[in-house]
Parts: sequence; structure tokens; C-alpha cells
Amino acid sequence: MFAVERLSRTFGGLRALDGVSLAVREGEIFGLIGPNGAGKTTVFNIVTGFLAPTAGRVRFRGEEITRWPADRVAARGIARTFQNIRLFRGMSAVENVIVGEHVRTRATLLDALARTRTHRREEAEGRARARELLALVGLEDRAAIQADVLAYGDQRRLEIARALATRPTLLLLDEPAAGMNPAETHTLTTVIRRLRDEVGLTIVLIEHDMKLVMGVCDRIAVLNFGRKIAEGTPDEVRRDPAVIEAYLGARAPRPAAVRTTVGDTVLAVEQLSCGYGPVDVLHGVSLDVRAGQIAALIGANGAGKSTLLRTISGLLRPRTGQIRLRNVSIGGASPDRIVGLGVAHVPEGRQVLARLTVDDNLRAAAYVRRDRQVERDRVALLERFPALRERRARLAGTLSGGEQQMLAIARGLMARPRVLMLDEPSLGLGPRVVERVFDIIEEVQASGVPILLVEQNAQLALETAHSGYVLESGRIVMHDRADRLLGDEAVQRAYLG
Amino acid sequence: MSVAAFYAGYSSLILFAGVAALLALSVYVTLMAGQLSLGNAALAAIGGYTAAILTRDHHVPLGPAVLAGAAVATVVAVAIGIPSLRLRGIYLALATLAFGEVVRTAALNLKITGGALGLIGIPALVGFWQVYGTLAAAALFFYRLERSRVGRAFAAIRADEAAAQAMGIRITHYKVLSFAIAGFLAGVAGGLSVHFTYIISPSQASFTEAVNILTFAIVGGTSTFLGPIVGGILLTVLPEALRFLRDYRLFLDGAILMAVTIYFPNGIADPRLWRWRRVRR
Repeated sequence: MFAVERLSRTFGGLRALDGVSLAVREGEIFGLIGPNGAGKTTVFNIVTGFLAPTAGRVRFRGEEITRWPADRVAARGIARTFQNIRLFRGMSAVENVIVGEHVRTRATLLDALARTRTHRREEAEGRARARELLALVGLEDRAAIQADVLAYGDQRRLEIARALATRPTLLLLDEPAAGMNPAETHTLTTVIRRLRDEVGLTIVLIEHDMKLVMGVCDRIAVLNFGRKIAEGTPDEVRRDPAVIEAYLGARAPRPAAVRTTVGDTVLAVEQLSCGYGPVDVLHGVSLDVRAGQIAALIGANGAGKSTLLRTISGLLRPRTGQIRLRNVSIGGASPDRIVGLGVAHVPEGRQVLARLTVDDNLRAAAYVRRDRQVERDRVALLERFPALRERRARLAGTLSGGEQQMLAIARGLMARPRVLMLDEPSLGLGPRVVERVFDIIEEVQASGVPILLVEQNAQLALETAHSGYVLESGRIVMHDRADRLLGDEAVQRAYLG
Repeated sequence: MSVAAFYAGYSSLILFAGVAALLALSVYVTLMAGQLSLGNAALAAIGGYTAAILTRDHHVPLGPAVLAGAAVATVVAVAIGIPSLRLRGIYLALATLAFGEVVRTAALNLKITGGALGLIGIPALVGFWQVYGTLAAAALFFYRLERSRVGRAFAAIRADEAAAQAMGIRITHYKVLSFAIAGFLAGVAGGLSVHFTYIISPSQASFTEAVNILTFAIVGGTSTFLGPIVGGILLTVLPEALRFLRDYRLFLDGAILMAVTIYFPNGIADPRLWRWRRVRR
């Protein structure tokens, strides 16, 4: 039904894709996996007309569609979602979906001006259908919310609903589960199956969540450095030595975090409430991070985890409550002052300065410091992150996802923080790279910087952390030692999947 | 003071305000599709010259003359639009600005446009109803456009071109359409205004005019069509209302402009201001 033949693409001197062939059958759920930078998204970009291939062909339902413009590809019946979410900001969720119906509707400007029957019928039907699609992905109660205010995982679901509105026969999903916790990923799995079984879609899926990929895909292809290194059923791929070597890694269970003696409270949040506009997102949240500790904060999308971090770092003003850093109140202070006092925030999605080099990203991070040891720290950090040292002169935007995450952490450390806050460090990273990032997180903690860790991968977070908090709808509903939470039945059901 | 006496005293100001609103709408329609055009003063001048020549020299009635001017402006806008649409943001603005200079220079040197002096003695054919009737029609047009499939396509292109294309929206088609509407509106505004100023000169295609028009739209706000209308009328009336300040008037003009852009980044007619203030993430 859908095939790419010997597809190649080079960027400058880099071979992003090197003769990749794939054939997907009608009604199949096909997985495309591999390390960051393997060329998976490049395949999607070529198929959907956003990139021209250097060589090779794309076929869809008996027709060659190579180099078709993106709108024509969409009209022919291929829809996609974007890895780096591209919703129409400023429009509500339901409006985003209605825009997706554009290609299946006819009303012209004249129809709208004269309010002809076509216009009126399409408007009414379009709105109703958009609501159905929102309900399908579980967003029916968020229809009126502005897209860019939705929680990260909700934005991903909205992208799927919007893609479905184009009534595709082939759906390309680029990391749909990134930013979702196991329970939400499980729901997503159900949605993907229903799309195939009930709507009759063929689906190609790029994803790092192996549970999702192995659970839902009929066949999987593995890319590494632009080449296909394996293809087969989930079981075949899982056992393939080349795949284990390049991507999956031999994951041994992590030894439980070493129980250090609990130190003084470094960061304390007391009865914090805040939110956007009239709606409170956090209701009286209290937590503390102590010296020598990693504290994990877990919870569903939209529970308020990122909001809490944003409030601590001063990007949002608390409505009530206290935030204290070593007994100094920082609630309501400006972000630059809070960073200066020693709270480093590594945001979700990394947000490195793409057009600056690795070196300059680190220098920029020391902006709040007035001492003379900035250069010495930078050199010391590069020693600690060998992957970054090798790439110190490269532009940050050209690094792979894992390297960008390391840079973001290193950047946080440049401010010589007293506490480091990490928002979803595993987001969008392959299993092996996630392991490496978490090793680094443990090293940072061991070097004397306590950490507040927000993470959808609750299993990994609780294995790494010493204490854990569970946030539900803006309230802390559970707080305990991390290993006890790991063993807790309710936590397992809700977040560990 | 009776309404009639008030109108008699301020008629030209009231008419100017209506035309300013129309011109602001013509910039707004390209902004709706995410395109920044600075060629609208020149398009208005094209409409104005065309209509003036038709009514003054060929005794064509007002309606057909204005429509002919608008048609010429539309054709020119599309002709300029198609190649310019390969350009984005600031580059598009520069290209359209250059187009304005071409029109101004042409008007300065052509015989048919009367050279540097321009055309004078254009018949007085336009009053309140022509200007505000047109503005009301334009408002209705935008009201329906914004609530339609085409309007949403514009908004999608403005928000994210790549995503819009992935939804099957033919972005070139809609960008050209927005340019065509802009050309038509600017042409109509130009055609109307020359029939109550009785004169048109090359300076109407100048950079200053182009920036003025853009300012109307930005100050008023570009989230709905009400913004450019409010902005155009307010920024025309305000300088007159402040005339008593004499030499200090321009200072205050500038200060108001700065205050609006700082405190009302979405314009003074931002619908969000009238609801509860929402903070963006």
C-alpha cells in the first residue's frame, strides 16, 4: 500500500538516509525505531513532501508521489503528526481540529460571504466531527482551551485528532507517546488499535517507548545512522543482536538508589497555589528537597508538574504559599534573581540555544554569575561530559536529542546551582540514551547538587530517586520513600503500567 | 450643536477616518495570512489615480470608476504577490516596500499621472454614505471571512505554515488570495478618497503612508477585524483632537504610540482584554 524505495537524503556532508526501503501493507501498524538521529523523522519529512529526497522513490496506493508538495500529499490521504509539536497556537483545541478538515471540505470564500447551504452544512458538520475526534483521543473536555496552554501530552493527542480530521488512509505518528506517562500511553495504545480496527487506517509509528511499540506494532523496522539494520516482528527485532547493540541496550534493572543520610532541607515549597488566568493549577502543594537527595515528582499530564517547576523558578507568580531556598524566601522573585540564588531549571524539551555553539550555550548559562571562575567551570564540565567536549564547536541545534539533553543539564550546572530541577529529561530519547542521561543525573547528585526530578517514566524516576511525590490534579496525594512508592499498588496501577 | 452642523465642521476628518479604517483592513487581510506587506499605500494610489482619471477626464460615474481602480490595484497586487510570496517576513516587507517606491517614482515621472504635481480638480463625488457604506460592507465581509473555512486557512498559515500545509492547505493559493483582497480594498479606499480630497499626488505612495497604514492595524490590533477599524479611526481623529497642543502634538502622538505597543501588545481592540486576562504559558 505504501512503500519507500532506496530512499537517500544528505544534509551537507551528512548522510541522514542511505538507501532505506520499507514496504507497509494495508491495515498494518508498522513501527520505525532507532537511536536519535537515525533518520526516522527524515523518512516522514520526505514522504509528506517537506523534504526532497536526494535519491529514491515514494509510492502510495499504486501511485508514485515522490516530491509531491505537502498539501497534495495530504489531499491524497497521508496525514502526520510532528515530533516537535506544531499546533496552531492561539487557536482553541477544537479550532485546530476544524482546520484539519480543510482538505475534505469545499466551501469557498463566496460560499462564506453568501452563507450558502454548503457553507452552513460544512460548518455544522465540521464542528460536530471535530468534537467526535477530540472525544476519540480523550480531549472532549478541553475543546475550548487554547492549544498552546494544554499540557504537553494533551498537545500530542490534539495533533493526532487534527491529523485524523484530514481523513487519511495512512497515518504517520512521530513519537506520539513522548511526554505521556504509562497509563496515558496505555490509553494511546487502545486509540491506535481502534484507528486500525474500526477506522481501517494503516499506521506508521516512530516511537521510543518500547512497551508501546512492541505491544501495538505488527512489524518493525530499525534504522541506525540512516540505514535499515533490521526488520521483522516485534519478537524478532527485540532479539536481534544488532538492534540491542545500537538501540535497546541490555537493560539491567537499576540498583536501588543508595540511601544517603538525609540532609537539611535545601528547597522547601509550602502550601503553594498558582495557575494561569482564573484557573488554579496547583492547590496548596508542599514538598521539600533535601541535601544529598533526588526527589521525584510524578503524575499524569496536566497534573501541574511543569507548572510547579515554572513557579519555583519564578516564571509564574505564586498566588499563595511560600517557596524557600535554604530558608531564604524566593516566592515571587524574578527568574534571573532566583537563578542567581542557585535554582537551575532544565526545562521540558531541553530548549538549548540552537544557533549558538555548545561552548557559547555554556557561557550564556553563566550569565548571572559575577565571579571569575566561569571559564574554569566550563572546562571542568566539558571534562565531565566527553560527548559535549568533542562537539564543543558545533551549533547546539545540530546535536542529537540525547546530546542536547546533556547540554541542557550541563548548562544548568554552569550556574553553580544549589538545587537542580529537571523537567522530563528522558523526553524523546532512545532507551540507551535515557540510561546514560540517568547515569549523569546520579553523578550530579553524588557531586553534591540535590535534584528535583519531574519525569513521565515513573519507573525509572522512582528507581533513581530517594523520595517521591505523586501529584494529581494540582494536589500532592502521596509522599514517601521512592522504593516504597515503587512497591505501592495504587502507584503501580496509575503510573507504572 | 446639531448633527448636521457637527458633520459640516468635521466632514473631511470623518471621511479620512473611514478611509484610514479601510486601508488598515487591507493591511490586516495580509496579516491574517501571516504576510507583512508595506505596498498598500501604493496600491491605494493606483486605485486613486485610476478612478480620478476616469471620473475627471472621461466622466465615468463614481461607482464604475472606483471599481475599475480597485480592479487595477487587485491585478497589480496579484502580479506583485506571486513572485513576492517566495519571500518571508522582513524580506517580503522590503520587497513590497520597494514596489511602493517603484509606483511613487512612476507617478512622479509619467504624464498621465500629472508628474510631481499629481492630478487636481477631481470632482467631489464622495460623502459620508459612500465611505461608511463601504466600510460597513467591508466589516461584514471580514465578519463572515473570519468565521469561514478560508479565514481559518489564513489563520493556520499565520500560525504555522508547515503544519498548515500538512493539513492540505494550499498555502500559495491562500496567500495570493489575501494579496488580491488587500489590493481590492486598498484600491477602493484610494478611489474613494480622491473624490473628497479632489487631489492626488505621488506622495500618497510614499513610505510614510505605508507605515502609517501599518500602524493603524498594529495599534488597533490584528486578532479581529475590529482592531484595524478602531485603529484607523482613532489614529486619524486623535492628532486632530490634540491640535491645541501645537508644537508638542507630535511628542504626544509618539508617546501614545509607544504606550499602546508596550501596554497593549495585541492592540487596543484585543478581544482578550474584554474578557478575563489570560496569561500565556
